[in-house]
Amino acid sequence: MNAGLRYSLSVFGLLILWKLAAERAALDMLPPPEIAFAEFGHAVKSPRFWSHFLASSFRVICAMSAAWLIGFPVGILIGYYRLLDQFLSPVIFLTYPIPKIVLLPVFLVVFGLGDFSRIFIIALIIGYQILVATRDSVLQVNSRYLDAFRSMGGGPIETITHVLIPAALPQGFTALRIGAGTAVAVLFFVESFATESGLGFFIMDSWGRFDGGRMFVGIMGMSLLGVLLVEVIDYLERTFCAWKFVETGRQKPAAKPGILLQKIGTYGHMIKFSHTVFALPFALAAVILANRHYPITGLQIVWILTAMVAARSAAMGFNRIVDARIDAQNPRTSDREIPAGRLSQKSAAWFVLISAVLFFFSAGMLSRLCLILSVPVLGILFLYSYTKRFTALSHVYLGFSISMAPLGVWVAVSGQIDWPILLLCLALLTYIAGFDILYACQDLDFDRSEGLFSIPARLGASAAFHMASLLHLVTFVCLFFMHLVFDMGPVYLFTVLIIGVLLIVEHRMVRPDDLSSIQAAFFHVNSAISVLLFLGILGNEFMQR
Amino acid sequence: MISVQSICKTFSGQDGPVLENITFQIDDGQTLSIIGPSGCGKTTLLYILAGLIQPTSGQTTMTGPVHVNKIGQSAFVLQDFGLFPWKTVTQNIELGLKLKRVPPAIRKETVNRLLTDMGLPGMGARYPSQLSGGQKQRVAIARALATDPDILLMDEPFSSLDAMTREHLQNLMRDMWIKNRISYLIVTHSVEEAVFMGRRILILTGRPGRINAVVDNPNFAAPDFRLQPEFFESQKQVRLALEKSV
Repeated sequence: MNAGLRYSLSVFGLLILWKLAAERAALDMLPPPEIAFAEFGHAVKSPRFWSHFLASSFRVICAMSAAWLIGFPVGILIGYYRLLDQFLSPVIFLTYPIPKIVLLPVFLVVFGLGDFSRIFIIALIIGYQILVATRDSVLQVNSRYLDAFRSMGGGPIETITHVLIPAALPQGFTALRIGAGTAVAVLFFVESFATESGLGFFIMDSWGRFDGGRMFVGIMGMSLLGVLLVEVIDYLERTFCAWKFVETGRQKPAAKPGILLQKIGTYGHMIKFSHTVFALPFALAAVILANRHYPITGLQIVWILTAMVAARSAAMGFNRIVDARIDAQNPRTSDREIPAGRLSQKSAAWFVLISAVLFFFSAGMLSRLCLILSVPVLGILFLYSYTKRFTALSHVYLGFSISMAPLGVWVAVSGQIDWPILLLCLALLTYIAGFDILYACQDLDFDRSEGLFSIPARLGASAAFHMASLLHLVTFVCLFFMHLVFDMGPVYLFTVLIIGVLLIVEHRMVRPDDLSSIQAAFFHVNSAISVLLFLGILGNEFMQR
Repeated sequence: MISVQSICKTFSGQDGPVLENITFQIDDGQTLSIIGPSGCGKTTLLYILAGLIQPTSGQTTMTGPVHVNKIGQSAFVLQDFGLFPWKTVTQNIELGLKLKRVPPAIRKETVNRLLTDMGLPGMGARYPSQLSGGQKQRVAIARALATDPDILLMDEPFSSLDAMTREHLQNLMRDMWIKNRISYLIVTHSVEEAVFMGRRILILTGRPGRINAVVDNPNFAAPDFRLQPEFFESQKQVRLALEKSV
């Protein structure tokens, strides 16, 4: 299993544990994750939180910079000059095991209660670690490097700049990264008394007031600070030790936390996360419509969104695995994550599994009925991947599976299926089926040669275009009649009119013999249509209230 | 010309000398192979020639046609660890020039010429870890040549390569000698390599290292030398001398 998945799995596991613990304990001081995150979302808008955050950042960044600027050069010098080593190493190794933090009271007396003492103690603790790691790595430099360098006429200063510093940097950065965790921990300690600024103070202050939510805002702030520090250090290491991270062809560079964001990007790319924008507005539209008759809580919306994104991720991931072999042969898709080797089949499978579990979990959080239905729904979604192997109607089936989204929302909120929502589902079905047919025109020759089923492969491009137009006409009609069924006013009707125009524009942008602008047509126009529909329904609600 | 006069080397704390009474001479544009059992002080001899360590007694003198400054008259090609993994191919090759404060324009020109000569075009931006073993040694040779030295000192330069690549690089090195007549001294433990690369072959005895025999190999630059009877004849001589020296 690779790094990205391990991280998301552990985050997910931790959240569940947190949630369970909070439910079990039912204490004010241990709020459940969603409350804590909501409070945090609230706090990031307040300048007070940021003033504490900045005070803490200032202290820890000053301390770590000082630790590096002193620890690293001294480590290099001690490692290089034997004489210096003989005198300084005993001092260092005698004092190394002494817990420096116990000296804080001394420093507070000597340097006063200001920032300096606090920065000093953090820098002292981290500086030691950097110094020792740097010295060791200098001593480990193979003497042949030094011989080679001297034979080229390099002097002592040049030996340091050309050989010792680059050789010691990786271990120095490792010490710095480990030090970042220690630094934040010490920071919390030194901020927890005799000061009124910083996240440590913020946490202890909230604790004193029995304000669990606010306390967790501080805790999350400190975690954020730690994560940011590690990410910055990773970035610096990547910049200054680029040679450590190059692909050697034989082995890939070791996975480090810094790759997390990049990995998320790779997975997001695999499932075309940005394309969520097509179906999500329909689901949200269903939320608004259902809210007329049934009450909806904020928490429900969170779980609806989670379920939708998780189901979609599982389905897309599954599709990419099933189609990996086909994708690899098609020049248009051979650069997709799995065929291109950026993701292994195994990690993609893990990704699908985790997404599926998340889907079931969020469905379960909505209602028992949702949990039961989530299993066949996922089956429907997975089945799509096989349809193009036996029927040209695979496009319609894709529309059908995606139209589960607004239907699922309705069931989640109302606990039953009311027929008016089916009109929205039909609109989504035909809308998706229509543009999937257009999209499939790109693969016409490939599909024919591989014996895959699609409307363009079966009927030819121009017939496929007519079929798509027909489907989009149905979309328009469904959207139009929704204003009667749901009793919506002029704002909605006007929106539907614009959508009609956009659909025509979309069909004008691509022609059977010219598909060059299909990507633009797809992404921009479709996202505009989906978002417009949602805004139209939302605007209509505001007008009618 | 490089001239070595009765060099002895004893390391402090070790019983007995490593090298004893080594005397030889390499004229400008000549080549020499040194072969001997392991532990015969071959590498120590190279370090002395490169000026990295001082002999206990005896002396070396170098007189070059162009260069008169002491440092940089010789250039080293090491077996492993020669290239700095944190420097790109270009940075490795130009390092010697940079240390001599050669202006960037000339450095760039030299690097490009050497990359082409060594069959490494377009590899300048790579790191050593991205190269094959053979490519790495080519970069090491290019780096040694960059400073335009009077003599190349090669310490088992090809021993960690596979047989095919090794032969290929031996050919490359010798073709370059035929073209430019740059003196080199190669330390090796392969009889074949010693005979293929050296105009003369110096056979050392095991501890302490002494010169046991010198095999003259005048035809070593002949075309297709590997297929000539002289190639095998010289190998036979070297092997016989080696057997006596153990």
